[in-house]
Amino acid sequence: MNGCGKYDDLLARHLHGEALAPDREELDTHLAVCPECANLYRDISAIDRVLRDYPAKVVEPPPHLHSRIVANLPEELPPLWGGWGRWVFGFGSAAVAIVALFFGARYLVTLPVERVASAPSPASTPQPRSATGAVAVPRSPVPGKPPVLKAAPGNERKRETVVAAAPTVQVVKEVKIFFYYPPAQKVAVTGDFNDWNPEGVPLKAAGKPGLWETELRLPPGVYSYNFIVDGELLVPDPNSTNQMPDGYGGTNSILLVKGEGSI
Amino acid sequence: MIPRRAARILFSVLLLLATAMPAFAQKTIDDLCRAHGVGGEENLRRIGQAYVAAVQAGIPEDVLLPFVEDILRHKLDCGQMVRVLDVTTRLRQADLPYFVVFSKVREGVAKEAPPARVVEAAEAKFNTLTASRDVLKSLGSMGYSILDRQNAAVVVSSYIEKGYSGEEIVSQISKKGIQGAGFAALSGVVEKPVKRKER
Repeated sequence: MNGCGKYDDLLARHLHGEALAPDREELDTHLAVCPECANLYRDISAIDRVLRDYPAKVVEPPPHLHSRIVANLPEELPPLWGGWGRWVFGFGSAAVAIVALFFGARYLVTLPVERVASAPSPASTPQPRSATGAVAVPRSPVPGKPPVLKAAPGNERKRETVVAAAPTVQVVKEVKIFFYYPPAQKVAVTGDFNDWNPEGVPLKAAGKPGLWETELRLPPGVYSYNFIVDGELLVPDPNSTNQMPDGYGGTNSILLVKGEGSI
Repeated sequence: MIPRRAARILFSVLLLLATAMPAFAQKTIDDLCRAHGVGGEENLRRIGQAYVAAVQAGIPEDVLLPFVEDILRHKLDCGQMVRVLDVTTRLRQADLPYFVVFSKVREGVAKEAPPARVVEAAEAKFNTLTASRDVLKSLGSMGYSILDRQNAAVVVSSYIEKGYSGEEIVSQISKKGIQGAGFAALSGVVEKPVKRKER
């Protein structure tokens, strides 16, 4: 397919119905003389048809559901749990525990012998004051991007889920990602959503030869991503028309997860 | 009732521990840098200072330390590390999503970009995120509720990276609304409250 590279973009635009008439003519002329491109065109058109017919049952949430959930959220925890506050509270608790233990021990040492020997039942044993300092402090979630949430077994068909993980409620959407690349033995997707983990989220064979797929559950937002082919190559999604320079001399595909009911 | 002496001891212990925190953080980062072959007392001091500033700004150490380890592995030099930590701290202080810089840096690491390029990308991200703050402020003054400030900043910054200016985003939204202006990604994080009809 030497010299066919310039037709890739044209082919993509044509498949998306964005090619102008002269471009289409040029492409048709090329397809007539290049069997490899003609085969590629036929294959991609077939995949395109399969994807268009894919039964995507979207369950729309009732209007204003999102607003109502947000309106009923508890107020955010005060910043006591973050940064300095956490340190001070942690050390404070430890210090209180130490001081209480110190006084508790002194109290026990100064007890009359006969009182200790009377050995009351455990239920009535006076608790050392350190118990008040040993409160288990629940750690607040680490601020950061929400992690990639994989679909729980049996839950794959839901199109929108509200995951309640105190203290935040996050609307997440399931997004199917397809990648057509017949030579690949192994494909994964990586991006903002998993902090560009070099392992990525693996794609599995989608039934058709060379077609790979996976499902991500993401909150609404904009995500940059690339595919990892056979553990090495980072390539943008050839099916995505939404791409951006990555600032490193390459290209990222952009995944847009819309809010308010639709992907 | 706690005797006065005990209260004094407690206060002293608290004060001691609070003042010791930066020293703990400094030691942690020093050990990490030395383990990765960063030499020179001045270098260690500068990196330590930047690290402690990030921790004091409120970035949890259990998030920051693995990040620093990643960039040490990628062979950023002392000046580059300080620059990355500095933009991260400034984002945290401005209540902007500092983790986006972590992600951008890790992207560069995954793509084996040269360290200088990684730092430039991190600083470019800082600039777009900072610009997004003004956009969100303007949207707020237009009556929009920012439901998820951190995510909204990420979305706006990605539009800015795409070539829109902050003023353009605000002006388009004011004329056509979020959906109409084509900024659909904002729809889940920024919302115009529905006005109730007066009876």
